[in-house]
Amino acid sequence: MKASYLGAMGYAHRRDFPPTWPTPPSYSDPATSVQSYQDGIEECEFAEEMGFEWVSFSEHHYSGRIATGTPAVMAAAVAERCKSVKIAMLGPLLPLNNPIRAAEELTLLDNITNGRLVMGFLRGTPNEDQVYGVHPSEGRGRLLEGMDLILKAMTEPEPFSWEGRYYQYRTVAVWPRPVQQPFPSALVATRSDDAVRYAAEHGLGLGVSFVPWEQVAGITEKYRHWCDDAGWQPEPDQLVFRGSIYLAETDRQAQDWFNAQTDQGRAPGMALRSSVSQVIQASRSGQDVDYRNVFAGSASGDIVGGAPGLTFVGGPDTVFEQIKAYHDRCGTGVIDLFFQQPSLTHRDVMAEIDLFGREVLPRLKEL
Amino acid sequence: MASDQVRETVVIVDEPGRSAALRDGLAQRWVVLEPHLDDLGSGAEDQVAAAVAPLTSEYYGLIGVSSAASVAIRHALNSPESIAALVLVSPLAVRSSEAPVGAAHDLESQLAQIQCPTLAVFGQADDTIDPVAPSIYRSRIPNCNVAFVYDAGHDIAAARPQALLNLVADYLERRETFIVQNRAGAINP
Repeated sequence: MKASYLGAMGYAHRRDFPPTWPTPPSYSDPATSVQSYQDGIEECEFAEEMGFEWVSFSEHHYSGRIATGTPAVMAAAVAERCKSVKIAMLGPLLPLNNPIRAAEELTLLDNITNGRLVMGFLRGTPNEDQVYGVHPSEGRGRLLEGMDLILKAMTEPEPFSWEGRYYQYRTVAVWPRPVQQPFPSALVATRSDDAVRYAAEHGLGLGVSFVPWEQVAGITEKYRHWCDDAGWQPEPDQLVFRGSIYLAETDRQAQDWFNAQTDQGRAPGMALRSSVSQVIQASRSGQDVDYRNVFAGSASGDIVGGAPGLTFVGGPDTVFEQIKAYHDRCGTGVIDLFFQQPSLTHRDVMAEIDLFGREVLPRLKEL
Repeated sequence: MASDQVRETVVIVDEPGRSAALRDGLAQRWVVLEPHLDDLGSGAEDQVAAAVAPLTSEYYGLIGVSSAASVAIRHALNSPESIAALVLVSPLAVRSSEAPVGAAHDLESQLAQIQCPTLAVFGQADDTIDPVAPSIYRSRIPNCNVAFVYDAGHDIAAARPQALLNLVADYLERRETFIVQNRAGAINP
Protein backbone atom coordinates (compact mmCIF):
# COMPACT_ATOMS: atom_id res chain seq x y z
CA MET A 1 0.00 0.00 0.00
CA LYS A 2 1.19 3.52 -0.79
CA ALA A 3 0.70 6.81 0.99
CA SER A 4 -0.02 10.16 -0.61
CA TYR A 5 0.46 13.54 1.04
CA LEU A 6 -2.26 16.08 0.22
CA GLY A 7 -0.49 19.38 -0.39
CA ALA A 8 -3.24 21.57 0.98
CA MET A 9 -1.03 24.63 1.38
CA GLY A 10 -3.30 25.91 4.12
CA TYR A 11 -2.95 29.48 5.29
CA ALA A 12 -1.02 29.54 8.57
CA HIS A 13 -3.73 31.37 10.51
CA ARG A 14 -6.62 29.33 9.18
CA ARG A 15 -7.72 28.60 12.72
CA ASP A 16 -8.99 32.18 12.85
CA PHE A 17 -11.25 31.86 9.82
CA PRO A 18 -15.02 32.07 10.24
CA PRO A 19 -16.72 28.70 9.71
CA THR A 20 -18.43 29.95 6.56
CA TRP A 21 -17.54 29.98 2.89
CA PRO A 22 -16.17 31.95 1.15
CA THR A 23 -13.48 33.27 3.44
CA PRO A 24 -13.17 37.02 2.90
CA PRO A 25 -9.88 37.96 1.20
CA SER A 26 -9.33 40.44 4.02
CA TYR A 27 -8.16 37.47 6.09
CA SER A 28 -5.19 37.00 3.75
CA ASP A 29 -2.04 38.81 4.78
CA PRO A 30 0.52 38.59 1.96
CA ALA A 31 3.52 37.97 4.16
CA THR A 32 1.72 35.20 6.02
CA SER A 33 0.47 33.76 2.77
CA VAL A 34 3.95 33.66 1.24
CA GLN A 35 5.28 31.85 4.28
CA SER A 36 2.33 29.46 4.30
CA TYR A 37 3.08 28.29 0.77
CA GLN A 38 6.77 27.85 1.63
CA ASP A 39 5.76 25.82 4.66
CA GLY A 40 3.40 23.73 2.56
CA ILE A 41 6.09 23.00 -0.01
CA GLU A 42 8.46 22.04 2.79
CA GLU A 43 5.86 19.59 4.08
CA CYS A 44 5.65 17.98 0.64
CA GLU A 45 9.43 17.64 0.46
CA PHE A 46 9.55 16.12 3.92
CA ALA A 47 6.73 13.72 3.08
CA GLU A 48 8.73 12.50 0.09
CA GLU A 49 11.79 12.12 2.30
CA MET A 50 9.78 10.07 4.80
CA GLY A 51 8.57 7.63 2.16
CA PHE A 52 5.31 9.00 0.80
CA GLU A 53 5.10 7.96 -2.85
CA TRP A 54 2.52 10.47 -4.06
CA VAL A 55 1.93 14.16 -3.38
CA SER A 56 -1.56 15.24 -4.32
CA PHE A 57 -3.29 18.52 -5.06
CA SER A 58 -6.91 19.44 -4.93
CA GLU A 59 -8.85 22.32 -6.44
CA HIS A 60 -10.67 24.39 -3.83
CA HIS A 61 -11.64 28.00 -4.09
CA TYR A 62 -12.10 31.12 -2.05
CA SER A 63 -10.64 29.82 1.18
CA GLY A 64 -7.25 29.46 2.79
CA ARG A 65 -8.01 26.07 4.28
CA ILE A 66 -6.98 24.29 1.11
CA ALA A 67 -5.40 27.22 -0.66
CA THR A 68 -4.93 25.80 -4.14
CA GLY A 69 -7.58 27.29 -6.39
CA THR A 70 -5.23 26.67 -9.31
CA PRO A 71 -3.71 23.32 -8.34
CA ALA A 72 -1.66 22.95 -11.53
CA VAL A 73 0.39 26.00 -10.54
CA MET A 74 1.06 24.50 -7.14
CA ALA A 75 1.80 21.08 -8.56
CA ALA A 76 4.36 22.56 -10.95
CA ALA A 77 6.15 24.32 -8.10
CA VAL A 78 6.23 21.21 -5.92
CA ALA A 79 7.26 18.97 -8.82
CA GLU A 80 10.47 20.96 -9.11
CA ARG A 81 11.26 20.30 -5.45
CA CYS A 82 10.03 16.73 -5.18
CA LYS A 83 11.82 14.73 -7.83
CA SER A 84 10.58 11.19 -7.35
CA VAL A 85 6.99 11.21 -6.04
CA LYS A 86 3.98 10.90 -8.28
CA ILE A 87 2.30 14.27 -8.74
CA ALA A 88 -1.39 13.54 -8.32
CA MET A 89 -3.83 16.16 -9.53
CA LEU A 90 -6.94 15.08 -7.65
CA GLY A 91 -8.86 17.88 -8.94
CA PRO A 92 -9.28 19.53 -11.31
CA LEU A 93 -12.99 20.19 -10.85
CA LEU A 94 -14.05 19.61 -14.41
CA PRO A 95 -17.51 21.21 -14.38
CA LEU A 96 -15.92 24.51 -13.37
CA ASN A 97 -13.14 24.52 -15.87
CA ASN A 98 -12.52 24.74 -19.56
CA PRO A 99 -11.66 21.09 -20.29
CA ILE A 100 -9.19 22.04 -22.97
CA ARG A 101 -7.32 24.26 -20.54
CA ALA A 102 -7.35 21.39 -18.05
CA ALA A 103 -5.96 19.03 -20.71
CA GLU A 104 -3.19 21.48 -21.55
CA GLU A 105 -2.23 21.87 -17.89
CA LEU A 106 -2.22 18.13 -17.35
CA THR A 107 -0.12 17.25 -20.38
CA LEU A 108 2.32 20.01 -19.50
CA LEU A 109 2.61 18.64 -15.97
CA ASP A 110 3.17 15.15 -17.34
CA ASN A 111 6.02 16.56 -19.42
CA ILE A 112 7.76 18.61 -16.75
CA THR A 113 7.55 15.64 -14.36
CA ASN A 114 8.68 13.23 -17.10
CA GLY A 115 5.61 11.06 -16.73
CA ARG A 116 4.98 11.28 -12.97
CA LEU A 117 1.47 12.71 -13.28
CA VAL A 118 -1.65 11.06 -11.92
CA MET A 119 -4.82 12.86 -12.95
CA GLY A 120 -8.13 12.68 -11.18
CA PHE A 121 -11.43 14.10 -12.35
CA LEU A 122 -14.25 15.14 -10.09
CA ARG A 123 -17.29 17.31 -9.80
CA GLY A 124 -16.55 19.23 -6.60
CA THR A 125 -18.52 20.18 -3.53
CA PRO A 126 -21.74 22.21 -3.83
CA ASN A 127 -20.15 25.49 -2.82
CA GLU A 128 -17.63 25.19 -5.66
CA ASP A 129 -20.44 25.45 -8.22
CA GLN A 130 -20.72 29.11 -7.25
CA VAL A 131 -17.16 30.03 -8.13
CA TYR A 132 -17.39 30.31 -11.89
CA GLY A 133 -21.15 30.52 -12.21
CA VAL A 134 -21.84 26.91 -13.21
CA HIS A 135 -25.49 25.83 -13.01
CA PRO A 136 -25.57 23.18 -10.24
CA SER A 137 -27.80 20.89 -12.29
CA GLU A 138 -25.19 20.73 -15.06
CA GLY A 139 -22.32 19.48 -12.93
CA ARG A 140 -22.78 15.78 -13.62
CA GLY A 141 -23.18 16.27 -17.37
CA ARG A 142 -20.22 18.61 -17.56
CA LEU A 143 -18.06 16.14 -15.65
CA LEU A 144 -18.91 13.24 -17.94
CA GLU A 145 -18.49 15.24 -21.14
CA GLY A 146 -15.37 16.95 -19.84
CA MET A 147 -13.66 13.62 -19.19
CA ASP A 148 -14.45 12.40 -22.70
CA LEU A 149 -13.16 15.62 -24.19
CA ILE A 150 -9.92 15.59 -22.20
CA LEU A 151 -9.15 12.00 -23.13
CA LYS A 152 -9.93 12.74 -26.79
CA ALA A 153 -7.75 15.86 -26.69
CA MET A 154 -4.85 13.84 -25.28
CA THR A 155 -5.10 11.03 -27.80
CA GLU A 156 -6.28 12.44 -31.13
CA PRO A 157 -3.26 12.99 -33.39
CA GLU A 158 -4.83 15.62 -35.66
CA PRO A 159 -6.69 18.86 -34.88
CA PHE A 160 -10.43 18.40 -34.42
CA SER A 161 -13.68 20.12 -33.55
CA TRP A 162 -15.93 19.12 -30.64
CA GLU A 163 -19.68 19.42 -30.76
CA GLY A 164 -20.79 18.66 -27.22
CA ARG A 165 -23.80 19.22 -25.06
CA TYR A 166 -21.97 21.72 -22.86
CA TYR A 167 -18.78 22.41 -24.78
CA GLN A 168 -18.18 23.45 -28.34
CA TYR A 169 -14.66 23.93 -29.63
CA ARG A 170 -13.97 24.22 -33.31
CA THR A 171 -10.19 23.85 -33.05
CA VAL A 172 -8.59 21.47 -30.56
CA ALA A 173 -4.94 20.47 -30.87
CA VAL A 174 -3.45 20.06 -27.41
CA TRP A 175 0.27 20.47 -26.96
CA PRO A 176 2.41 18.87 -25.67
CA ARG A 177 1.39 15.24 -26.01
CA PRO A 178 1.55 13.43 -22.68
CA VAL A 179 4.68 11.45 -21.79
CA GLN A 180 2.55 8.57 -20.56
CA GLN A 181 0.79 7.03 -23.56
CA PRO A 182 -1.94 7.01 -24.54
CA PHE A 183 -2.68 9.29 -21.57
CA PRO A 184 -1.46 9.71 -17.98
CA SER A 185 -2.66 7.49 -15.15
CA ALA A 186 -6.19 8.63 -14.46
CA LEU A 187 -8.96 8.11 -11.98
CA VAL A 188 -12.44 9.41 -11.35
CA ALA A 189 -13.08 10.70 -7.83
CA THR A 190 -16.73 10.00 -7.19
CA ARG A 191 -19.35 8.13 -5.27
CA SER A 192 -22.04 8.42 -7.97
CA ASP A 193 -22.99 5.35 -9.96
CA ASP A 194 -22.77 6.99 -13.38
CA ALA A 195 -19.25 8.29 -12.82
CA VAL A 196 -18.13 5.02 -11.17
CA ARG A 197 -19.44 3.17 -14.21
CA TYR A 198 -17.66 5.64 -16.48
CA ALA A 199 -14.37 4.90 -14.70
CA ALA A 200 -14.90 1.17 -15.11
CA GLU A 201 -15.87 1.36 -18.77
CA HIS A 202 -12.89 3.57 -19.64
CA GLY A 203 -10.24 1.66 -17.72
CA LEU A 204 -9.78 4.47 -15.19
CA GLY A 205 -9.10 4.21 -11.47
CA LEU A 206 -11.50 5.16 -8.71
CA GLY A 207 -11.04 7.69 -5.94
CA VAL A 208 -13.33 8.03 -2.94
CA SER A 209 -13.06 10.58 -0.15
CA PHE A 210 -13.98 11.11 3.48
CA VAL A 211 -16.49 8.30 4.05
CA PRO A 212 -16.29 5.18 6.25
CA TRP A 213 -14.78 2.03 4.77
CA GLU A 214 -18.18 0.33 4.85
CA GLN A 215 -19.44 2.85 2.30
CA VAL A 216 -16.27 2.68 0.23
CA ALA A 217 -16.57 -1.11 0.12
CA GLY A 218 -20.02 -0.86 -1.43
CA ILE A 219 -18.84 1.58 -4.08
CA THR A 220 -15.74 -0.49 -4.83
CA GLU A 221 -17.80 -3.64 -5.19
CA LYS A 222 -19.94 -2.00 -7.86
CA TYR A 223 -16.83 -0.60 -9.54
CA ARG A 224 -15.14 -4.00 -9.67
CA HIS A 225 -18.30 -5.56 -11.06
CA TRP A 226 -18.46 -2.98 -13.87
CA CYS A 227 -14.72 -3.38 -14.49
CA ASP A 228 -15.31 -7.10 -14.84
CA ASP A 229 -18.07 -6.39 -17.37
CA ALA A 230 -15.56 -4.26 -19.28
CA GLY A 231 -13.01 -7.07 -19.22
CA TRP A 232 -10.43 -5.83 -16.76
CA GLN A 233 -9.66 -5.39 -13.06
CA PRO A 234 -7.97 -2.39 -11.42
CA GLU A 235 -4.43 -2.44 -10.07
CA PRO A 236 -3.93 -1.40 -6.42
CA ASP A 237 -2.72 2.07 -7.47
CA GLN A 238 -6.08 2.62 -9.16
CA LEU A 239 -8.03 2.43 -5.91
CA VAL A 240 -7.42 5.63 -3.97
CA PHE A 241 -9.01 6.82 -0.76
CA ARG A 242 -8.62 10.32 0.65
CA GLY A 243 -9.13 10.86 4.36
CA SER A 244 -8.25 13.41 6.98
CA ILE A 245 -5.90 12.43 9.77
CA TYR A 246 -4.66 13.43 13.17
CA LEU A 247 -1.78 11.28 14.36
CA ALA A 248 -0.26 11.58 17.84
CA GLU A 249 2.28 9.57 19.79
CA THR A 250 -0.53 7.84 21.69
CA ASP A 251 -4.24 7.27 21.33
CA ARG A 252 -4.80 9.27 24.48
CA GLN A 253 -2.97 12.31 23.14
CA ALA A 254 -4.90 12.11 19.88
CA GLN A 255 -8.22 11.80 21.67
CA ASP A 256 -7.42 14.73 23.96
CA TRP A 257 -6.62 16.88 20.94
CA PHE A 258 -9.77 15.79 19.16
CA ASN A 259 -11.93 16.48 22.22
CA ALA A 260 -10.39 19.93 22.55
CA GLN A 261 -11.34 20.72 18.97
CA THR A 262 -14.90 19.65 19.62
CA ASP A 263 -15.09 21.62 22.87
CA GLN A 264 -13.89 24.76 21.14
CA GLY A 265 -16.59 24.35 18.54
CA ARG A 266 -14.19 24.42 15.65
CA ALA A 267 -16.08 23.35 12.57
CA PRO A 268 -13.65 23.88 9.73
CA GLY A 269 -15.84 23.68 6.73
CA MET A 270 -17.43 25.13 3.70
CA ALA A 271 -20.69 26.11 5.35
CA LEU A 272 -23.26 28.08 3.41
CA ARG A 273 -26.44 29.92 4.26
CA SER A 274 -29.28 27.44 4.48
CA SER A 275 -31.17 29.21 1.68
CA VAL A 276 -28.19 28.91 -0.67
CA SER A 277 -27.55 25.33 0.35
CA GLN A 278 -31.19 24.37 -0.30
CA VAL A 279 -31.18 25.86 -3.76
CA ILE A 280 -27.90 24.21 -4.74
CA GLN A 281 -28.94 20.80 -3.48
CA ALA A 282 -32.34 21.00 -5.14
CA SER A 283 -30.81 22.11 -8.41
CA ARG A 284 -28.15 19.41 -8.28
CA SER A 285 -30.84 16.78 -7.91
CA GLY A 286 -32.89 18.22 -10.74
CA GLN A 287 -35.72 19.64 -8.65
CA ASP A 288 -37.57 22.85 -9.30
CA VAL A 289 -36.98 25.38 -6.59
CA ASP A 290 -39.78 27.35 -4.97
CA TYR A 291 -37.91 30.47 -3.96
CA ARG A 292 -40.78 31.73 -1.82
CA ASN A 293 -40.17 28.91 0.60
CA VAL A 294 -36.42 29.09 0.38
CA PHE A 295 -36.33 32.72 1.38
CA ALA A 296 -38.86 32.36 4.18
CA GLY A 297 -36.14 31.96 6.80
CA SER A 298 -34.41 34.51 8.95
CA ALA A 299 -32.90 37.62 7.42
CA SER A 300 -29.38 36.42 8.01
CA GLY A 301 -30.08 32.81 7.16
CA ASP A 302 -28.88 29.84 9.15
CA ILE A 303 -25.45 28.54 8.44
CA VAL A 304 -25.46 24.87 7.56
CA GLY A 305 -22.91 22.32 6.44
CA GLY A 306 -19.31 21.92 7.44
CA ALA A 307 -16.34 19.70 7.00
CA PRO A 308 -16.64 15.96 7.48
CA GLY A 309 -15.18 14.53 10.66
CA LEU A 310 -11.70 13.14 10.81
CA THR A 311 -11.25 9.75 9.17
CA PHE A 312 -8.15 8.63 11.03
CA VAL A 313 -7.45 9.65 14.62
CA GLY A 314 -5.11 7.99 17.09
CA GLY A 315 -1.64 6.80 17.84
CA PRO A 316 0.40 4.90 15.22
CA ASP A 317 -1.04 1.46 15.93
CA THR A 318 -4.62 2.67 15.83
CA VAL A 319 -4.16 4.74 12.70
CA PHE A 320 -2.43 1.82 11.00
CA GLU A 321 -5.40 -0.43 11.77
CA GLN A 322 -7.86 2.24 10.62
CA ILE A 323 -6.09 2.59 7.27
CA LYS A 324 -5.58 -1.16 6.97
CA ALA A 325 -9.36 -1.60 7.10
CA TYR A 326 -9.64 0.33 3.83
CA HIS A 327 -6.95 -1.86 2.31
CA ASP A 328 -8.41 -5.13 3.53
CA ARG A 329 -12.11 -4.39 3.05
CA CYS A 330 -12.02 -2.13 -0.01
CA GLY A 331 -8.80 -3.00 -1.80
CA THR A 332 -7.50 0.55 -1.40
CA GLY A 333 -3.97 0.74 -2.75
CA VAL A 334 -3.19 4.41 -2.19
CA ILE A 335 -4.22 6.37 0.89
CA ASP A 336 -4.23 10.14 0.34
CA LEU A 337 -3.96 11.95 3.67
CA PHE A 338 -5.02 15.44 4.68
CA PHE A 339 -2.85 16.38 7.66
CA GLN A 340 -3.38 20.14 7.84
CA GLN A 341 -6.15 20.30 10.40
CA PRO A 342 -7.11 23.93 11.04
CA SER A 343 -5.71 24.28 14.52
CA LEU A 344 -2.33 22.77 13.68
CA THR A 345 0.84 24.72 13.02
CA HIS A 346 3.44 23.94 10.40
CA ARG A 347 5.63 22.47 13.14
CA ASP A 348 2.76 20.22 14.27
CA VAL A 349 2.23 18.93 10.74
CA MET A 350 5.95 18.28 10.22
CA ALA A 351 6.00 16.29 13.46
CA GLU A 352 3.03 14.24 12.26
CA ILE A 353 4.67 13.51 8.91
CA ASP A 354 7.77 12.40 10.78
CA LEU A 355 5.79 10.14 13.10
CA PHE A 356 3.72 8.71 10.25
CA GLY A 357 6.85 8.04 8.20
CA ARG A 358 8.57 6.24 11.07
CA GLU A 359 5.73 4.36 12.72
CA VAL A 360 2.91 3.84 10.22
CA LEU A 361 4.18 3.99 6.65
CA PRO A 362 6.67 1.07 6.85
CA ARG A 363 3.83 -1.22 7.91
CA LEU A 364 1.51 0.10 5.19
CA LYS A 365 4.12 -0.65 2.55
CA GLU A 366 4.10 -4.30 3.59
CA LEU A 367 0.38 -4.66 2.90
CA MET B 1 -33.72 34.35 -45.88
CA ALA B 2 -36.04 36.53 -47.95
CA SER B 3 -38.20 34.53 -50.34
CA ASP B 4 -37.05 36.49 -53.40
CA GLN B 5 -33.43 35.45 -52.88
CA VAL B 6 -32.06 32.48 -54.79
CA ARG B 7 -31.38 29.64 -52.43
CA GLU B 8 -28.27 27.53 -52.80
CA THR B 9 -28.41 23.80 -53.24
CA VAL B 10 -27.31 20.93 -51.03
CA VAL B 11 -27.20 17.35 -52.24
CA ILE B 12 -27.48 14.51 -49.71
CA VAL B 13 -26.22 11.08 -50.63
CA ASP B 14 -27.49 8.44 -48.25
CA GLU B 15 -29.69 5.40 -47.99
CA PRO B 16 -33.34 6.38 -48.50
CA GLY B 17 -34.99 8.04 -45.52
CA ARG B 18 -32.07 7.83 -43.12
CA SER B 19 -31.21 11.53 -43.34
CA ALA B 20 -34.79 12.81 -43.19
CA ALA B 21 -34.24 15.01 -40.14
CA LEU B 22 -31.06 16.49 -41.57
CA ARG B 23 -32.76 17.04 -44.92
CA ASP B 24 -35.76 18.77 -43.35
CA GLY B 25 -33.56 20.97 -41.21
CA LEU B 26 -31.33 22.02 -44.08
CA ALA B 27 -34.38 22.66 -46.25
CA GLN B 28 -35.14 25.71 -44.11
CA ARG B 29 -32.10 27.36 -45.63
CA TRP B 30 -31.15 25.43 -48.77
CA VAL B 31 -32.77 23.64 -51.68
CA VAL B 32 -32.07 20.03 -50.74
CA LEU B 33 -31.78 17.28 -53.31
CA GLU B 34 -31.70 13.66 -52.29
CA PRO B 35 -31.10 11.55 -55.40
CA HIS B 36 -32.39 8.00 -55.36
CA LEU B 37 -29.61 5.48 -55.83
CA ASP B 38 -30.10 1.89 -56.85
CA ASP B 39 -27.12 0.89 -54.74
CA LEU B 40 -23.95 2.41 -53.32
CA GLY B 41 -21.51 0.45 -55.43
CA SER B 42 -19.28 1.52 -58.27
CA GLY B 43 -21.14 3.80 -60.67
CA ALA B 44 -23.43 5.28 -58.03
CA GLU B 45 -21.53 8.57 -58.33
CA ASP B 46 -22.66 8.74 -61.95
CA GLN B 47 -26.26 8.37 -60.83
CA VAL B 48 -25.73 11.31 -58.48
CA ALA B 49 -24.32 13.44 -61.28
CA ALA B 50 -27.14 12.51 -63.62
CA ALA B 51 -29.80 13.25 -61.04
CA VAL B 52 -28.38 16.60 -59.99
CA ALA B 53 -27.38 18.02 -63.37
CA PRO B 54 -30.89 18.88 -64.63
CA LEU B 55 -31.85 20.51 -61.32
CA THR B 56 -29.00 22.86 -60.66
CA SER B 57 -26.25 24.47 -62.67
CA GLU B 58 -24.46 26.05 -59.74
CA TYR B 59 -21.97 25.06 -57.11
CA TYR B 60 -23.61 22.95 -54.46
CA GLY B 61 -22.86 21.48 -51.10
CA LEU B 62 -22.51 17.70 -51.04
CA ILE B 63 -23.19 15.49 -48.04
CA GLY B 64 -22.35 11.80 -47.90
CA VAL B 65 -23.49 9.68 -44.97
CA SER B 66 -21.97 6.44 -43.66
CA SER B 67 -21.53 3.91 -46.48
CA ALA B 68 -22.71 6.49 -48.99
CA ALA B 69 -19.79 8.77 -48.11
CA SER B 70 -17.71 6.79 -50.59
CA VAL B 71 -20.17 7.73 -53.35
CA ALA B 72 -19.99 11.38 -52.33
CA ILE B 73 -16.21 11.30 -52.36
CA ARG B 74 -16.10 9.72 -55.82
CA HIS B 75 -18.57 12.29 -57.10
CA ALA B 76 -16.47 15.11 -55.64
CA LEU B 77 -13.40 13.66 -57.35
CA ASN B 78 -15.22 13.38 -60.68
CA SER B 79 -16.90 16.79 -60.56
CA PRO B 80 -14.61 19.15 -58.66
CA GLU B 81 -15.99 22.14 -60.56
CA SER B 82 -19.45 21.55 -59.07
CA ILE B 83 -18.78 21.01 -55.38
CA ALA B 84 -18.65 24.03 -53.08
CA ALA B 85 -18.16 21.99 -49.93
CA LEU B 86 -18.15 18.32 -48.99
CA VAL B 87 -19.50 17.01 -45.69
CA LEU B 88 -18.86 13.40 -44.72
CA VAL B 89 -21.03 12.15 -41.86
CA SER B 90 -19.76 8.97 -40.15
CA PRO B 91 -17.90 8.07 -43.36
CA LEU B 92 -16.93 4.47 -43.94
CA ALA B 93 -14.86 5.26 -46.98
CA VAL B 94 -11.48 4.28 -45.52
CA ARG B 95 -10.27 1.73 -42.98
CA SER B 96 -13.72 0.22 -42.83
CA SER B 97 -14.70 -3.42 -42.67
CA GLU B 98 -17.76 -2.51 -44.73
CA ALA B 99 -15.70 -1.48 -47.73
CA PRO B 100 -13.73 -3.94 -49.86
CA VAL B 101 -10.07 -3.63 -48.90
CA GLY B 102 -8.93 -2.79 -52.40
CA ALA B 103 -11.64 -0.21 -53.02
CA ALA B 104 -11.09 1.44 -49.65
CA HIS B 105 -7.38 1.61 -50.24
CA ASP B 106 -7.92 3.15 -53.67
CA LEU B 107 -10.20 5.81 -52.23
CA GLU B 108 -7.80 6.51 -49.38
CA SER B 109 -5.05 7.17 -51.89
CA GLN B 110 -7.28 9.63 -53.75
CA LEU B 111 -8.30 11.75 -50.77
CA ALA B 112 -5.46 14.15 -51.50
CA GLN B 113 -7.15 15.02 -54.79
CA ILE B 114 -10.31 16.38 -53.18
CA GLN B 115 -10.26 20.06 -54.04
CA CYS B 116 -13.16 21.46 -52.05
CA PRO B 117 -13.35 22.32 -48.34
CA THR B 118 -14.34 19.15 -46.49
CA LEU B 119 -15.79 18.41 -43.08
CA ALA B 120 -15.64 14.86 -41.72
CA VAL B 121 -18.03 14.34 -38.81
CA PHE B 122 -17.84 11.41 -36.40
CA GLY B 123 -19.87 10.29 -33.43
CA GLN B 124 -17.51 10.43 -30.49
CA ALA B 125 -18.65 6.96 -29.39
CA ASP B 126 -18.78 5.40 -32.87
CA ASP B 127 -17.23 1.96 -32.47
CA THR B 128 -17.70 1.07 -36.14
CA ILE B 129 -15.08 3.61 -37.17
CA ASP B 130 -11.42 2.68 -37.06
CA PRO B 131 -9.85 5.03 -34.48
CA VAL B 132 -7.25 6.20 -36.98
CA ALA B 133 -9.81 7.02 -39.68
CA PRO B 134 -10.55 10.64 -38.58
CA SER B 135 -6.89 11.54 -38.70
CA ILE B 136 -6.58 9.99 -42.17
CA TYR B 137 -9.27 12.28 -43.58
CA ARG B 138 -7.78 15.26 -41.78
CA SER B 139 -4.22 14.65 -42.93
CA ARG B 140 -4.90 13.49 -46.49
CA ILE B 141 -7.59 15.90 -47.71
CA PRO B 142 -5.95 19.28 -48.32
CA ASN B 143 -8.65 21.41 -46.70
CA CYS B 144 -10.34 19.17 -44.14
CA ASN B 145 -11.78 19.71 -40.69
CA VAL B 146 -12.73 16.82 -38.43
CA ALA B 147 -15.52 17.16 -35.88
CA PHE B 148 -16.60 14.80 -33.12
CA VAL B 149 -20.19 14.91 -31.90
CA TYR B 150 -20.32 14.02 -28.22
CA ASP B 151 -22.76 11.40 -26.97
CA ALA B 152 -23.34 9.96 -30.43
CA GLY B 153 -22.43 6.68 -32.07
CA HIS B 154 -22.50 5.89 -35.77
CA ASP B 155 -26.03 7.19 -36.28
CA ILE B 156 -25.39 10.77 -35.23
CA ALA B 157 -28.69 11.98 -36.66
CA ALA B 158 -30.57 9.69 -34.29
CA ALA B 159 -28.56 10.54 -31.18
CA ARG B 160 -27.90 14.28 -31.57
CA PRO B 161 -30.04 15.52 -34.49
CA GLN B 162 -29.91 19.20 -33.60
CA ALA B 163 -26.19 19.14 -32.93
CA LEU B 164 -25.57 17.51 -36.30
CA LEU B 165 -27.84 19.95 -38.11
CA ASN B 166 -26.23 22.97 -36.46
CA LEU B 167 -22.74 21.74 -37.23
CA VAL B 168 -23.42 20.81 -40.86
CA ALA B 169 -25.38 23.98 -41.56
CA ASP B 170 -22.67 26.14 -40.03
CA TYR B 171 -20.05 24.42 -42.15
CA LEU B 172 -22.05 24.69 -45.36
CA GLU B 173 -22.60 28.36 -44.60
CA ARG B 174 -19.06 29.28 -43.62
CA ARG B 175 -16.91 26.34 -44.75
CA GLU B 176 -13.46 26.28 -43.16
CA THR B 177 -14.08 29.62 -41.49
CA PHE B 178 -16.65 27.91 -39.28
CA ILE B 179 -13.88 27.62 -36.69
CA VAL B 180 -14.20 31.36 -36.03
CA GLN B 181 -16.61 32.14 -33.20
CA ASN B 182 -19.48 34.25 -34.50
CA ARG B 183 -21.76 34.30 -31.48
CA ALA B 184 -21.49 37.44 -29.39
CA GLY B 185 -20.26 36.86 -25.84
CA ALA B 186 -21.30 40.12 -24.26
CA ILE B 187 -23.85 39.64 -21.48
CA ASN B 188 -24.85 43.21 -20.81
CA PRO B 189 -23.50 45.24 -23.69
